[in-house]
Amino acid sequence: MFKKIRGLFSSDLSIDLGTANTLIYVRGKGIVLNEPSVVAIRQSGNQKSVAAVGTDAKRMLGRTPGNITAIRPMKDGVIADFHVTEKMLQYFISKVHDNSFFSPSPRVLVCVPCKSTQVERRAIKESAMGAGAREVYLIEEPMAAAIGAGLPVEEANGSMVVDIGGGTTEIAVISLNGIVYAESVRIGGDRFDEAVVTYVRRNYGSLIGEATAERIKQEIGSAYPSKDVLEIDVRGRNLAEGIPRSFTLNSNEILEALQDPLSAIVQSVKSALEQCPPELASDIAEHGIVLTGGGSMLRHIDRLISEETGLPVILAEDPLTCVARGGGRALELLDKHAFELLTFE
Amino acid sequence: MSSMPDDSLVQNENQSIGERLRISRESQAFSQQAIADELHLPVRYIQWLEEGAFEKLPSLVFARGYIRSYAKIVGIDGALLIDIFNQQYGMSDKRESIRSVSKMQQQVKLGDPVMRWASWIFLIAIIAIVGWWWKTQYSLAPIDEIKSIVSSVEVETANDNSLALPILDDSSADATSDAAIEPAATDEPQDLSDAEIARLQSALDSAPETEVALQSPVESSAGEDDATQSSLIERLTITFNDDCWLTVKDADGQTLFKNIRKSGESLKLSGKEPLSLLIGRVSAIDELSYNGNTVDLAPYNIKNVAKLTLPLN
Repeated sequence: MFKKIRGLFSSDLSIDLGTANTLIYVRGKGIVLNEPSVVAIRQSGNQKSVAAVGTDAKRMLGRTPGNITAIRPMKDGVIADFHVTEKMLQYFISKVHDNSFFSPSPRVLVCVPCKSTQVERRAIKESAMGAGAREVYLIEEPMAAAIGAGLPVEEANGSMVVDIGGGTTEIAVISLNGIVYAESVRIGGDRFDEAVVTYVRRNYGSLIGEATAERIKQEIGSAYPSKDVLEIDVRGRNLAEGIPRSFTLNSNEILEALQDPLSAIVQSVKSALEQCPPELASDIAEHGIVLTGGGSMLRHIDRLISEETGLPVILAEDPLTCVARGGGRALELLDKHAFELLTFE
Repeated sequence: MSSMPDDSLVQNENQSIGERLRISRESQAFSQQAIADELHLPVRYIQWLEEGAFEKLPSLVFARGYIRSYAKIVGIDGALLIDIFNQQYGMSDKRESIRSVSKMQQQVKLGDPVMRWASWIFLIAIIAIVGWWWKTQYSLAPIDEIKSIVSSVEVETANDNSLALPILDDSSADATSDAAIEPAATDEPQDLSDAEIARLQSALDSAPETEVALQSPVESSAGEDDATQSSLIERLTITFNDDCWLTVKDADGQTLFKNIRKSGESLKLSGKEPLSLLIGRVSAIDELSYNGNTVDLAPYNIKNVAKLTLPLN
């Protein structure tokens, strides 16, 4: 009852609870929050308290003293630490509401990976509830991504969307507001970073942190060989000497480093095409595959998939926010026919 | 070759997207086929792009994607072209909302506000009807009848002042309880009693039927009953534990009693057999005895109303 009253002072939200970033779309306002899914926890004695959330907490990653731990509560697209996720969501939800008198109690649409288990979905639902949501709806990520990319999902026409996120890559064939085929591989931006760290350790005998690896990936990372070779100077701790050393990496090296995760993604795209009903496969061959998600910002990844599959591949507009925007569009239909788009498991 | 894209940018402030793409492509000596192969698109799509016939492409989303990929190959700024494209065709977000796939009539859901209001109104209507029915069934009818009864009783008492006889025995123990409840009825006889006792005593000696009445020790009654008329020995005794409306008629169809009795009161009647009784509230009857035998009302009790004739046969 009281929740209902508080609900009057809250707006409906669509949350893309990603492994790397959490985005919140507020109904009628658009995307209002885009922050890393990182929480810094301060421990004093037995008392645990949240020290920072989001961008501030991400800056602390790998640089924390003993009493602070920076945690990424999401792993592989699902919740790894329930309570911390709840705290994080609580913080984000209250952040997007200016009204401080009533604690917000919004209706929330959360995106879940299409191959997540019921337990994982339940955990996401309950953590959103715990964060103060009045009602929680779930939508499968590739569906939201397709809507956000502006694909004609309601038409009797197959569209293939590949959403490369931080923790997972979701591949789905969509037609008539429903998912025909979906595959989720637990490979994403994080795996790229790890691959870079491993490569540097193996070839340069130096350790770099994940934040540095991410920066390398963003600045010179490439998924397909190209004429122009980019370079970057990085510093890492030399394992043999134990002293920080500086060295130079180029984009071809990063391409080599990323081979494993990239080929896994290409392989799942191919297998999705194999599993796809022939009519839809021909639609896809005609229009092409659409890439969304932060991972698709890796240089030439569209080219790689296009060359490997022989199909046209296009990048969605503003790929990072596709899922959140798609969720937002579904949110606006919540009272009409969103039941076609939502998942009820 | 390297200068050509720059030239094209300089010269074509008002050039269309397709023209820009074509000029860049030709400057690098690519054929349409080469671009099509590179993008894995049909050649006609490249033609349409260069002609600006974007509406022929599958959708604007794909058109944007193709423009960006094409621009990347020929080495011009795709974002700039997309800006121009968006100016012409609007932003992607302004697309109309997703339509439902079902072409059938949409079913009304339970959560629908219209449905919710309709069910509330329906529920209230049901409650109102039930309440009205209940009232008419149980409370209104008796009240109406009681009103008529009360008026008739008043007439009767006004007509004949046969109060004297039944009041005679009011000096007995039961009179006190009567006095508490109906002081008006008992005060009067109290005054009378001393003066009348002697006269009544002699009258009773001569009248055998009234002698019988006197023999019963607890003859307490309000003035309304027509006990004087009864000349038979049958006796009806009813004690009440709550307010109760009742009618008693004798064999001739004459009304012996028709009124409400209050809690704690009792009623004693005699009349010509068989007596017919209509009890308005069976639960208010403590005990009903006829000729000294207690009568069980349970078999006659229908919704707390009992209708029976005495003696039982």
